[in-house]
Amino acid sequence: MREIKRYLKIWLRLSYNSFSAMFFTRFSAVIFLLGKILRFSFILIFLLAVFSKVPGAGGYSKEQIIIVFLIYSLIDTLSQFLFREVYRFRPKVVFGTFDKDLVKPVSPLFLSLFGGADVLDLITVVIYTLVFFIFLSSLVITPLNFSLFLLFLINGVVLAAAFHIIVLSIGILTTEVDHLIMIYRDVENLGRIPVDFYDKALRFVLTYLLPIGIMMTVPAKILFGLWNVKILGVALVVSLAFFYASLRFWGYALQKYSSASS
Amino acid sequence: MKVFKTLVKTEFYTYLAYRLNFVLWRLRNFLWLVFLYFFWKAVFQGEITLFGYTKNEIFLYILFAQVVSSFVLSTATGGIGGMINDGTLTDILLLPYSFFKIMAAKEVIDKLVNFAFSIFEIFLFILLFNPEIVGVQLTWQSVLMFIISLLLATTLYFFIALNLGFIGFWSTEVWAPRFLFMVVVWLLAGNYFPLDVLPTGLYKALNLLPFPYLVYFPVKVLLGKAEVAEVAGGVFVLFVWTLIFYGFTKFLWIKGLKVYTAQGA
Repeated sequence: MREIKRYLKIWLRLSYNSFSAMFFTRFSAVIFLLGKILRFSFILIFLLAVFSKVPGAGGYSKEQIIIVFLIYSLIDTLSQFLFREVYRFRPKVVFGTFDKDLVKPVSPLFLSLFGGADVLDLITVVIYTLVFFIFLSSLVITPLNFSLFLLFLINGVVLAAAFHIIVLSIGILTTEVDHLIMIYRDVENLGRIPVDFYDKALRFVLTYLLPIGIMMTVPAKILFGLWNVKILGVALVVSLAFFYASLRFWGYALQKYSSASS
Repeated sequence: MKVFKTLVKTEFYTYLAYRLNFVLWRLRNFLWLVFLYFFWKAVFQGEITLFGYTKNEIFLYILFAQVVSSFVLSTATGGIGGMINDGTLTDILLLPYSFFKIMAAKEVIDKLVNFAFSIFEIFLFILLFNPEIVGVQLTWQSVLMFIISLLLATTLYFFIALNLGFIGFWSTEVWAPRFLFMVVVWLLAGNYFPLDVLPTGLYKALNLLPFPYLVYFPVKVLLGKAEVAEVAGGVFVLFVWTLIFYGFTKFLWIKGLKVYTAQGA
């Protein structure tokens, strides 16, 4: 417990520093925020326009498809808010400054993942949450489904953390982070729609190998009451296995770190 | 012409040096295509036509849009703002060739490489997912008008992208405006869906901007979904936008050079 409190304190300090740094480039921050909100709004308008002509798709109603998109937006933005430091990891490995993280009395994984929260994404999280609840009000949700949904929403963020850990690990091994993180974002983008929309092979990949489906579609299905104990069990087992594998991979990558440029 | 060819060749070798970056970039585009295909496939389940498009036409639209956007919207001008800010623009200014000629050479190779890869991706996509795209006839008239609109759209985007880079003459914050611009272009150019699926009012308002003419218009022309008058009007509007941005580019370049201090060079 004391250890958790210590890490929380460190995270708050690092986040405060990150927020302060952002205020030096206020103009850029406003533009970035505007871009994010614009993209979100436009996709929402597009979905509403498409589903004004058809009642639904792939067995999902219009409202359910929009909720899936909103859950994707929430998990994606929450993970960007929390794990923004991953986007700044490459120079640390290339120039060898990652050495400094390794000698600090804090987990280097913690610093690489949580070292610089992004205030812009915190703002968008608030906006997306409001829109989410507006659309949610059109559905009947039981307290049990909502509680399980929250649990699996957190599970989605944990899976996002696992993906980011894998990106960091490959970054140590190859120094390739920038494109890799964007490819992760594009794979994650496949979760904007329910994974049931994809063909069997792709659905398998997106459920068991790159569990985007468990990140995005399972929380939505729980919310709609389209779940059973087997689905939840499989989702939890796959999530645990994926997270554990990412930690093992991180450990392996750390052993291979050569500190080449320092 | 010989100089231009040499510049293109040099740029091509630069691409070969950073080929992994490029392959990864193309992979990202491929993933988008997969997403769009399955989205539209689900939407069209049980529907014959939607928004005036058949399922085959919408699949062809996203495939053509992928190729057109990889040609029109790929650009080598992304680093201009940074070059102005760190003073490395001076290196180019000292060369015995015009800045615009050098940028055009970079642009040509960037577009050709992206175009070639997008064709490969389309074949790979068809091989993997076998989308229903037969039943749409292309006429020589629509192909001809498509080529004209594609060339105009490419020129227009080149000038718009140059103007974005020139922000560097007056500000060090060049990435944020480019990010916003990319968001706007990727949403409003019609890369992901035909823009006429949007509410009529919004669609009409969008047509007042240059963005729909970059991808949506050429693809619509190629698919034969535009009337003769619409094609002629669209080409004219494209031409006017190109002239406007050409003038704007020249103006900003002259004004920008006057304030350029080669700081950091």
